[in-house]
Amino acid sequence: MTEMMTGAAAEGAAAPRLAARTRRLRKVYRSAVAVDGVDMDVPEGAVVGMLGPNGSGKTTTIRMLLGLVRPTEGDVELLGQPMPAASELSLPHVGALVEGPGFHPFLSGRDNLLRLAAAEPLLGRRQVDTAVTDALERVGLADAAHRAYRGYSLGMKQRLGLAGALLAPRRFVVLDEPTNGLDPAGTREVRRVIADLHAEGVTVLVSSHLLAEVEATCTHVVVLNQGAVVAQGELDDLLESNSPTLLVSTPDGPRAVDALRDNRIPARLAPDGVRVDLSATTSSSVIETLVRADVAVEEARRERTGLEDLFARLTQAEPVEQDDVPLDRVPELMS
Amino acid sequence: MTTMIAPSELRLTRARVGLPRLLWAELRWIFRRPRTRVMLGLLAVIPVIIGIVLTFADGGPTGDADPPVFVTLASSALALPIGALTVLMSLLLPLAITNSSGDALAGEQANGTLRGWLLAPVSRGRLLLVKAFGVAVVGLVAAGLVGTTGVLTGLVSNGTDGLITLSGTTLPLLDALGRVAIAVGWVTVQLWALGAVALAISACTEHPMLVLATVLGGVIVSQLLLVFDSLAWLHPFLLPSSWESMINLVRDPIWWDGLGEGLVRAACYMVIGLSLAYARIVTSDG
Amino acid sequence: MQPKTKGIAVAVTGTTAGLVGLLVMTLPADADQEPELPELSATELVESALTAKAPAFEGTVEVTNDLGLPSLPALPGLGLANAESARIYHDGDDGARLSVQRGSTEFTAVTGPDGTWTYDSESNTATKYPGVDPTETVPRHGGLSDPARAATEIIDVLSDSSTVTIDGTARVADRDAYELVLTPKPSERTLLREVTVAIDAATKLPLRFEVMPNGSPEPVVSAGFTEFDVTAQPDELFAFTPPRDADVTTADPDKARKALPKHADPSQALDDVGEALGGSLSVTGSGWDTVLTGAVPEEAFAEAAERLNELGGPDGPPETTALDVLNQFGERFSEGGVSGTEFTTHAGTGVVTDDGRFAVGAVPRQVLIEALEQQ
Ligand SMILES: Nc1ncnc2c1ncn2[C@@H]1O[C@H](COP(=O)(O)OP(=O)(O)OP(=O)(O)O)[C@@H](O)[C@H]1O
Ligand SMILES: [Mg+2]
Repeated sequence: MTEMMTGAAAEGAAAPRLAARTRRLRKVYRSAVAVDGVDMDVPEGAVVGMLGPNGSGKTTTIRMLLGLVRPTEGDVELLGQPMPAASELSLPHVGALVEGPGFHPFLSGRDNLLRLAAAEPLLGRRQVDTAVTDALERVGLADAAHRAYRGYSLGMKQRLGLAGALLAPRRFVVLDEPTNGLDPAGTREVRRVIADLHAEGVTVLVSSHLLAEVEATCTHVVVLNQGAVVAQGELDDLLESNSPTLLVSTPDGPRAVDALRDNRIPARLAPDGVRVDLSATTSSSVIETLVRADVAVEEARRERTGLEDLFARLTQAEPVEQDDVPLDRVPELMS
Repeated sequence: MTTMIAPSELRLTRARVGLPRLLWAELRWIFRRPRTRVMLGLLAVIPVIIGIVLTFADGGPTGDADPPVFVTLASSALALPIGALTVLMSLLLPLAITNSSGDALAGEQANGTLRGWLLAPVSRGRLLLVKAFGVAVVGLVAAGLVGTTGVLTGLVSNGTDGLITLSGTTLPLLDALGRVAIAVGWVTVQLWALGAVALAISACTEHPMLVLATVLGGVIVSQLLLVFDSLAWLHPFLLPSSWESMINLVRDPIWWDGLGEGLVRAACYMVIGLSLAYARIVTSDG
Repeated sequence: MQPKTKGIAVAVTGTTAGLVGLLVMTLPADADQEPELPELSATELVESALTAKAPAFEGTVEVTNDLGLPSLPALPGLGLANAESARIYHDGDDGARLSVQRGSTEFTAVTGPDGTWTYDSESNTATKYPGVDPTETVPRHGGLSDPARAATEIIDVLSDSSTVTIDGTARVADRDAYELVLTPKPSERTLLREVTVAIDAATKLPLRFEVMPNGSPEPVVSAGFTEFDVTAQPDELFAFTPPRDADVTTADPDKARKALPKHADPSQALDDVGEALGGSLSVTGSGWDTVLTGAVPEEAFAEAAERLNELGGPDGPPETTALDVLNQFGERFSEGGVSGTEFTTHAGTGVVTDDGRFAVGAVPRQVLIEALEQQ
């Protein structure tokens, strides 16, 4: 499972420290198996995106990670501490927004945060007030701070939840669908907040259905499907290993395809050029072949398949029609 | 602690929020809740209303409008508060405490606010402690308000004399106030017993209304069962069976038997309620 | 899994503890214990009971009667089997105080240096009794009595016609007591099996008496202390100052009972019937088969009927006549040239003849009719 890490492990003596780690994690509800044998690693300092279709067990995994739900089987370590046994040690350093924001409708946003902050061990009595003000400013709610939560819009509620997760200095922040209900500006702000946290060295675990967001903000991803991890690792590695394709821009597409096929290199005409499968060959031999065949090459660029494609492949029960790349090797690579 | 430490350098230390801070936050939350305020306001006004009715509707008790306590001066600073407590004990005071218990766990669970404190973290045992404390304070405040406005109304309408007991003796003011204080304390303990049971139910559900319906239903059914002599064997197990003993505080000397029994019964209910609530809260998924 | 185990352990422990607590409360303190007491002969015990002087004490008294009277159809749920409780304080001398609890009202009687007073909180009346001990009037009035006094009277009246034995010991009101049993001699024709009187070992004061009928293990009348503490009592308990606004009257000793309040209690209606008969009463026999006979005055029934109509309220049954009153309670009979209505209770029988006479006693009907025929 940790194959993606082996490269790093081989280089340095010490394996990267983990902000969270689960082993054989399993949760069975009366009616269904929600999480089934999840081994997940969240490296310290990373921004880990958690992907998976609805009901794939993301929230349940997060809730077990935070000690809100007791696993049926398996172990959880949070900041190096066993959960939930040592939650008093780890949780003060963890901020979380789980299953949407939860606040009292009759209190103002600020009072809601004050109530939350009262229970934060890392905030001294005198720090509470400034911590709340800072958190509200950070999520752009300073103006609405004194309005009752009841009157908040969906996005404002979500922002308040985010503020709750950021009340105290954190080492690890867990966000379950933080962009749910946010407008584009809000989404951008969340992206900015995550980037800031990342810059401060805070580990972030963020579950989301917005693949573009994940692609833009995360360094690592974990993909869950039906309660099991189907892929995890650094985002770049995953996308890289996924579909080695070379996109060749040429004024003479059909001839390029013919030339490549003559040399048993799979290729296909695409609107923006010629797409060449690199799984059995290298970029240099492709270019060499084309040059030899006298095809003018304007540009050749290794192309990554989008997260979108990867996600679809990993999480769909039957592989969809994909005529360009044979991707059925990917799961083996990853697990 | 200085504020700017790079997160990765933070060492994990066992940090705990002091209990008073949590209790204070809980109380602030409880007493800012509009529902609590309305409830308490209502409770405070009722003795005044009873006092006014008793003062102006002279001619004494008739058929269906019996005052709570049959003494010469039902609107005195002795009989009015104790009578009001007795009357309110049959529904409104249990409603207040149950309402508070229902909001404490079920309501918080429904709002999704419980996990905010669990993640802070507040251990589950402490959480129950804080919640039980909040409910207990609501009970004391509710009973205390009824007692206070009852005494004040009695003093306004009848002054400091006329503190007549059922036994025909007239008490000095201080003695009468002492008895009202005992009544308030006693009612508070009964409310705690209800509150503990309500907390146990509250820990099992997300619906505060369910807590309300179950506990009030239980109170009403118990009071109904008490009417049937054929169920006498069951009566000692029913919490409301000692509630009529309150009138013994208006006798001179006070009859303590029923009152003492009521305290023991309430304590038993409290032990049962709190242990079930604890068991549920430490095992449940939050 | 550990928290689960812990949770279950806490739940089971707590619930068990609470339930045991509730259960323990329902059990009498040590009812089944039979304390060891020095041997005493029955005569010695009767002697010391009759001469015992009450110490200063306070106690709670509970009276239950299960006479088995038919309950009134007009008043469902208000059977005649009822329990009343009262508190008694005694200063060890002449001072006594009795408080009878009647729902949310109270009847208080105080005897002390200032004389004797009664106070009824329902009507807010205070009555002064020159030279009358109200604790004497109260038992007859409310069916409730100071068990010590009542038991002493019973021993006094019945000991000649009874076999008196000591049947072991008992715990009454958390005190050690002898169980004195009075069994009617074979010559007595009574419906009662025996009367047991528990006598306090220390003070020789009767703590409880129970009247047992034939053919039932349950006493028809039982009066006793549920709590009895021998301690000095404060003086102010035996003084009484009528409260502001109370109706204060001074009672004519003879009419004292008339001044006492009438309660909305059907047994009261029957009592009043008897009360109205006072003048024409005569006693036949003695001991267990004593029979009271007399003539029935019309007004008594009229009054009783009126009382019943009051109780029925506006929605109650239509006007009740004197005959209806009889038929509601009794059964028709005709024997040896006497016909009338018979009333049966667990403890005794009463007849009202068609020619307007009546007889009551803890005896079968036959004995009543003999008594009527003797006159
Ligand atoms: N309290 C519960 N009781 C019973 N089943 C549950 C419970 N919570 C979750 N499940 C089940 O567990 C599975 C995983 O749920 P989970 O909420 O973890 O999914 P998710 O990945 O967060 O989905 P989404 O993207 O919709 O948020 C689902 O099939 C769900 O029905
Ligand atoms: Mg989810």
